[in-house]
Amino acid sequence: MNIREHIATAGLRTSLEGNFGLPVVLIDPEGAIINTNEDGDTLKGQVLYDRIGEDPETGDEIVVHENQVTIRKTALSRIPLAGEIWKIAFPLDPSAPDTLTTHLLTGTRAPIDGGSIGFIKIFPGEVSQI
Amino acid sequence: MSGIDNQMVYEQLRDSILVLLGAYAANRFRVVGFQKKTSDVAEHEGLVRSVQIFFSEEDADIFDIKERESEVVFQIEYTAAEPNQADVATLDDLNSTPAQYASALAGVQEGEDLANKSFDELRRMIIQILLDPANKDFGLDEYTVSSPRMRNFRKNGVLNRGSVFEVTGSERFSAKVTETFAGVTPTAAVQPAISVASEFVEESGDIEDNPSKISIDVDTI
Repeated sequence: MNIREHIATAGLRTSLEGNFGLPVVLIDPEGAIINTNEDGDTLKGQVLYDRIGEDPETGDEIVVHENQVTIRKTALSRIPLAGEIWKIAFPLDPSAPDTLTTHLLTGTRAPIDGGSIGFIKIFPGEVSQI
Repeated sequence: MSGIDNQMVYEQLRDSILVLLGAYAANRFRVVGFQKKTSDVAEHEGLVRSVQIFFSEEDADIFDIKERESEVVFQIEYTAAEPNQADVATLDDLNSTPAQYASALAGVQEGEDLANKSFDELRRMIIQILLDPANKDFGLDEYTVSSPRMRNFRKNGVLNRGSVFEVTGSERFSAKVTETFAGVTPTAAVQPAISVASEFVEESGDIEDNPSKISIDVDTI
């Protein structure tokens, strides 16, 4: 196993799914549920709730409350593609990891497919009941 | 009364427009009659989408005549916001079948699409109200307001505001109005008290002490 493969598997497994990881459930456009990794363990990913952005009016740094979920690609049986609509559920409160809230992956913001290293970063959108 | 104490036509028109829009707003949209600096996106979500309308332009000349026609312009700012919508109940149900999940995902209504349509609908309502010939006088005296028109419509790009997608835009409503300019000169001059002397000195130097013979010319204002 070369370094790239190692990072894509063991390295990201530690950084994204280790003590910092939170459970994630995906449902693909065909309705198939993905809630386990390739080993059958609970699918986990890195969930971030904020990022540093820039106020467009002042140019000042501001905290933007935007959810991001990063998952190791080798853990997934199917990789979300840009333009597809998926359900993605994850905890909104890291101290309550068993309570997952439904979000959507839509065409609004395509996932960042980290082909070089082996992760995929998803930007879930909130959803309301029709 | 001085002109600075009375509303000019553009102020009366402003108030009339707000009343007119408010009468049709019902549960369709919210009317804001001033320019808001900041607002929470939640204030514009769903049927609480908002229209801000405020007086913004007029070219006024020197008030050398009592009535003058001028064009007044009101800036209109539209804001609409919508979230993604889906059959969340089915997506959350652990007992749903894959076909049900797939159907729910296929039925997702993306927030950008909903926000765009909501915005277009809001704009449609506003121009229908303001350009309706039945409203041409805007509650003011006949012929005070003429040539209402909407121009310079612009729609901005959709923004992702956390849980919702927001679409904003602007337009200008203009009309010709007949302004009455009173200026600041009081309409009735304050006359100084006239002191009637009890004595009147004649050219001869004699003093006439009969007040009934004293006459003073007073100019009529």
